[in-house]
Amino acid sequence: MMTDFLLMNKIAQLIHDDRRQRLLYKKGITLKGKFYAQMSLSDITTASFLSEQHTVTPVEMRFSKVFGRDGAGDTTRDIIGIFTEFDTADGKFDLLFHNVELDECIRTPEAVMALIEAFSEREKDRVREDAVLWKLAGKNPEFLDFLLRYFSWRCTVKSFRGVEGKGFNGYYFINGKGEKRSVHFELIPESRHGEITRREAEFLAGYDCDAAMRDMKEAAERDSLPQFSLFAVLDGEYRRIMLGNIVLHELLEHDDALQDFSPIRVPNGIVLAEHPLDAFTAFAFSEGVRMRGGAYR
Amino acid sequence: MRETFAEFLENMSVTERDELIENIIDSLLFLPEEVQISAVTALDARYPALGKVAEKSLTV
Repeated sequence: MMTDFLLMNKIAQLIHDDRRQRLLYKKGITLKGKFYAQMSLSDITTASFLSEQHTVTPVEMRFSKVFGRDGAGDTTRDIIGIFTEFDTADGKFDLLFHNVELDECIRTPEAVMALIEAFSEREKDRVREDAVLWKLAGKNPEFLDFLLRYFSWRCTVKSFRGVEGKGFNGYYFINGKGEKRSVHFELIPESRHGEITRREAEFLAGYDCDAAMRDMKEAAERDSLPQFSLFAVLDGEYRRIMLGNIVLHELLEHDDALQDFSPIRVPNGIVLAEHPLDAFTAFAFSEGVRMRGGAYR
Repeated sequence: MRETFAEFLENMSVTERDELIENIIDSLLFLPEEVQISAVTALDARYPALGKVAEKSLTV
């Protein structure tokens, strides 16, 4: 019988502290920075961090592989996910980006669920590798374009500093008059780079499985962390507006930040779109936060 | 206003396109025949040129 209660308490505490892993976006790296608003957008949104020129907002960004397991090589073929959290005066604003676009014909909860199931199955059964993905495209040709994006250079990346971000969710900007404008966001790096060939990716995955993480750490040591420009694309007006620049300045030692990240968190002046995929994403992230024992700050 | 697949292809260099074709073939190479056939059929229906290259590479 175990009578060392201090030891029991200690192991119980460790078990409690051990957070449940995310379903996706497992292996990542988090950085801190600041967002510098370029111009006032007070005519289209009341969001304070965008409605005044030169407003500076603290930002945290997390770069991760979407489907890969925690120990997967950074250059192994995968989509890159970018969590971007703005700590605005009106509350948090969480924006989710991926480095490849999800085609319009598969922007549904059912299609995204089918992709998650297919990629998760692929991760479990490395022997069959891509069979499950091709089976999906064979049965449902609407997935083919996404699969071709997946097999392009965009998904073999050795540096997160040069990846583009395509906003996953849609939002509305709301101005003081209550007018709504449909919008999505894009993240453009200072210089797009880091996409490599399959052969280089395979070599690097075996040689240095943390190549992209190391690249970011080395950039932090050189004091040359990346900058990204944030754009808003007004969907109904075919207008692309540069909102400002994100300047990263600190690499966090541990990847335990943004545990409560969820695209459902928006400040005044911005609301999540009413598309079923947006509601699905909001639920999935909120449920993930709840299951990991997180709480919204 | 989101990037369409056609725009994605337009923005690719010739080298990137060649690499994409190689990657597709490499991914299909050792898969069961029935998976190869359904994938090539799907490719052929949407992108006939790509479907033909894949079919040739997988049957030679």
